[in-house]
Amino acid sequence: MRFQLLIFLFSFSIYSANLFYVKGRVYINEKLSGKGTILKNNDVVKTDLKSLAIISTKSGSKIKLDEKSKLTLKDIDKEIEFVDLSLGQAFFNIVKKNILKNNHIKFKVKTNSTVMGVRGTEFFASYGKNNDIWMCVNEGIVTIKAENDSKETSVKKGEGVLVKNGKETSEPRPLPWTKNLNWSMNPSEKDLANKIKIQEAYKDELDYDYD
Amino acid sequence: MIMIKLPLFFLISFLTFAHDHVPAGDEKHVHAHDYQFDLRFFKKINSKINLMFELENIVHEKRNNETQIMAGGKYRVNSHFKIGAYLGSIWGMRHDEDWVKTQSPDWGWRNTSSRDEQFLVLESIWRDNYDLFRMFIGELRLRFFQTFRFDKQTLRIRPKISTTILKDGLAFCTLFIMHERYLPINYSSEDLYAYWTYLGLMFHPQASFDWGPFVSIGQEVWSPDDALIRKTTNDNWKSVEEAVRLGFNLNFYY
Repeated sequence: MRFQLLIFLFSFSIYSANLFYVKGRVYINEKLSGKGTILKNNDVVKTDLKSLAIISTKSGSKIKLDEKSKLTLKDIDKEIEFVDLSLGQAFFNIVKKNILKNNHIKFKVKTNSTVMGVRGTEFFASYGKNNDIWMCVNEGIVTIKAENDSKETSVKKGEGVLVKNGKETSEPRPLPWTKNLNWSMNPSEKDLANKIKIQEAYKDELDYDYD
Repeated sequence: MIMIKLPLFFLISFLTFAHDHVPAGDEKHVHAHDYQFDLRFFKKINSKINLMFELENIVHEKRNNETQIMAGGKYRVNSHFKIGAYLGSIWGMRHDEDWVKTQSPDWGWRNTSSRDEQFLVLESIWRDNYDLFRMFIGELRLRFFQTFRFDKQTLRIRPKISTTILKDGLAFCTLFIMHERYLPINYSSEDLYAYWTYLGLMFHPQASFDWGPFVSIGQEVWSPDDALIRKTTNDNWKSVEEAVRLGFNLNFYY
């Protein structure tokens, strides 16, 4: 009986997403939840102040949801995994086996105004001022399309974009502040929290005049 | 701690260069310790235009002090490129023409501290990010400098590299190193009128102001061209002032 239960739990954990790591207060559908909580389609994950959650999907991809953030798991049991970030910021680490050989998108992130398609493995997305969206890529390539964009913009490793008012995607370029983002999703590390304030993103160092 | 020790190391290293030098023949060398203060006000009109007012004061150890005011602005052509124009006044600037016969048998420098002259600056600035072991900003600034009293034209070329250090997720300070070369266009018998190498820090306590110390080491050379020699001394001469400057920047942003 115990063995059957283990088999059942094991198979369930393979085919479901779960809360892989929790710090502080994390809510699933407004209910305080802890590490190991099984997640299903349309579950809403919310983090409180000084809290964070790492979600592991069925494919092994991980999403680190920063403090004061909200993410809805739209389709996490389909071939194309799909999540909706509606508040705050999140790091995404998409396992390579989840990217098809023919370069098809296998993971999608929606915000209030953009859709991001993941061809790469590691990226960060955040809300800024006035519904702005910041996105930067640490590994691989991510495509992004905003409301007023006529076509998708491909953002490569080391580059980032700003979607001003959620409407138009800027030209991809290196963003100095993203160098200090905390990409780690390893729970054995001391601090997984992101220390970069999004205000830093608004300082365009190429526009900074000292003299 | 390393970030504090590093500039101090450079400062001490630079100061050790500032020893006295013996004048030889018609070439005179002077070594000086100077102080510089720069106060700037920036006003961003929109995403393209940034106005600036600058007050600069240099306290020279071996000659009269210089004070300069300058006002103008920069226009951002694209994310990497800016152009700018400024008008200003300077008091105390020394030119080759200021080497004059004094009442004593010797020649000497005229005191120019109360002499004002107007100038025009046209500039272009190119900047880019460089992702090395950390993110750096590379900059190349070209300034065309025209003074009107003596009609001197100078091209100033200044490459600069800087990197910003974050603390608690926000910009804490920027470390910069730059080198500026002054190329005389219509005066001097020298190819290089002056050069300065700077090492400095800019702290960012608030979005509305920055401050920081810097140290610079360099030299200025006064050496008349043939026309001026014929008009004045009838003899070739050269005067070099090598200096170490300790400076302080204070910037306000509106």
